[in-house]
Amino acid sequence: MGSLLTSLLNSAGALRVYDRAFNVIENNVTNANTPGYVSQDQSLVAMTFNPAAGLGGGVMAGDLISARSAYLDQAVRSQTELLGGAQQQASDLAQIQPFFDTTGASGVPGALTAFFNSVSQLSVNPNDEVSRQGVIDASQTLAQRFNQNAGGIQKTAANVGIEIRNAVSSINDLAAQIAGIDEQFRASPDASHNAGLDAQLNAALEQLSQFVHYTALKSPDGGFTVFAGGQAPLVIGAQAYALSADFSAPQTAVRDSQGKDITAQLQNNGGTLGALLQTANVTLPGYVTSLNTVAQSFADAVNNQLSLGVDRNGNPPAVNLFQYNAALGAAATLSVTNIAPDRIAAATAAAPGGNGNALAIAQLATQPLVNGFTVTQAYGNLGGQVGRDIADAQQEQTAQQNLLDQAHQQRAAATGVSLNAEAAKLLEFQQAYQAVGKLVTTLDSLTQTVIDMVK
Amino acid sequence: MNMQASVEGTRRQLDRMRVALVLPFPREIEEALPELEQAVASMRELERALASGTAPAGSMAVDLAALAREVGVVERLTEGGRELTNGWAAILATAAGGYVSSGKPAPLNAASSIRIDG
Repeated sequence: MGSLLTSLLNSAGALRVYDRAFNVIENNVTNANTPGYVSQDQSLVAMTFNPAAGLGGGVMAGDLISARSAYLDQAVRSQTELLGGAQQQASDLAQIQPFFDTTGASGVPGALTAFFNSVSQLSVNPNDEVSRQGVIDASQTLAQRFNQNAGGIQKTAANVGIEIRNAVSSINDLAAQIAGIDEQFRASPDASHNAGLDAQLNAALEQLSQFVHYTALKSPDGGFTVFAGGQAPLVIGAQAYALSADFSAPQTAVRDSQGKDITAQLQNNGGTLGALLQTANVTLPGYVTSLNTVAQSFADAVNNQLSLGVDRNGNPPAVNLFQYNAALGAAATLSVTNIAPDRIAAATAAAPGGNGNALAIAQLATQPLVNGFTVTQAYGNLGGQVGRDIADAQQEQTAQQNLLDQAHQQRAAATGVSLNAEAAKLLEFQQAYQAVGKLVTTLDSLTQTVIDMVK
Repeated sequence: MNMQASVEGTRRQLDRMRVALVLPFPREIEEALPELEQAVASMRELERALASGTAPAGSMAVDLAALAREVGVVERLTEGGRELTNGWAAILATAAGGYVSSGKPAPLNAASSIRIDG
């Protein structure tokens, strides 16, 4: 048995350790639902037992052991990136869908049908003023439908631009937050074991993964160095490096703090920003190009066929029916000229006053004018492509959500706070105290009996 | 029977339990239980020896008084520990299961587990 002083010191030290162990349980229970928090455990270190040297043994508190798993955290972040991208893509494309009516009842398909119907009507009464005006009216409606369709895509592109700004702003905010936490890690030597700071840092990193693909390298002090897209510095130590969005060129660019274009590293590479850049620079321009091709091919074919005929007076037409500005986009700028009804060339030059050219224009409906497809088919292909892209994005979103849920579950099982486990620890204590209590009561009673006997 | 040695042995066994009671591991307490049982057995034997007159009472009063004090210390530590864990169990039970209709914490349940050390 050690000296009284050693014994007292042992007890005092052990009580402090005991207090810390309970604090760890308290932290675990309190933070069971705190984002980024992982279960902590108090390690204990045996002290030297050498009574001759005045060393009474006992225990001292060692490091806090965090259940954090870098692998499981990375799995959650990777899935969060992929889900962020899929959600963003599905959301952006959903804005486009209403502009592509492929049922033929409204929008461009409906207007195309109405146009060809008006031309057929003209072929029945080629010199009828009302029929001639009907073709002009149907042409104007069709041009407006193309304009609305292109305008819808442009509006979506503008929304995507705003979202890119917001995403970059959120990324910069989170980078500043991560740098701030890193500063706290550096300021205190004990901070690397601070479960609260660790939780904040990992919650911020997880949020960041929703916005952008990045690589995070852990530094010895507990902080992280973060590279957006794997290369562009976003956080180095306690310093954040802001990204910026550049809309000065047709292709939206994201630049690092040095002004270097890092779009290629981010685009379609995970996170909402990756998906937004893909939508802004690839998906929407692709739709616009296809729509322009349909509008331009149709307008050119009709104008060309009209130019081959003669008007009601037997003269070649002086003006086209359709006009557009190819540089600004045929679909967005398509309109009807100020052509007068009697100048529509419904007849062929060989048979003035007849319906030969009107019939030829009506037949354009079934001719492969756009890359081997009729105008209606080509537009249907574009609408179908939009629909497939949306369906793919939604399926991707569902799949990635499931995978993220699995990654969350795996991480929670391995590193989350289990109230059951904490309860089990307390029940063990309760049972141990109960057993000791019974024996000590008996021992106390016996001791009193013996004392009474020796008196 | 050497009463002096018996009382000293009991005090040593009791001291082991006292140390275990201030360690943050229930396992330490469980491991010290057999020694506490031995201490109880020693005291029973001592009681029987004194009753039959086979052991001289001698001057044991001081040692026995010290033993009684140490039993008291262990008793208070046990009671304190039990109250502390009961309080914690109540807090944890409300965190895990809320309150029952009477306003008391829901019963604390823990999944059973097997621990293998070594």
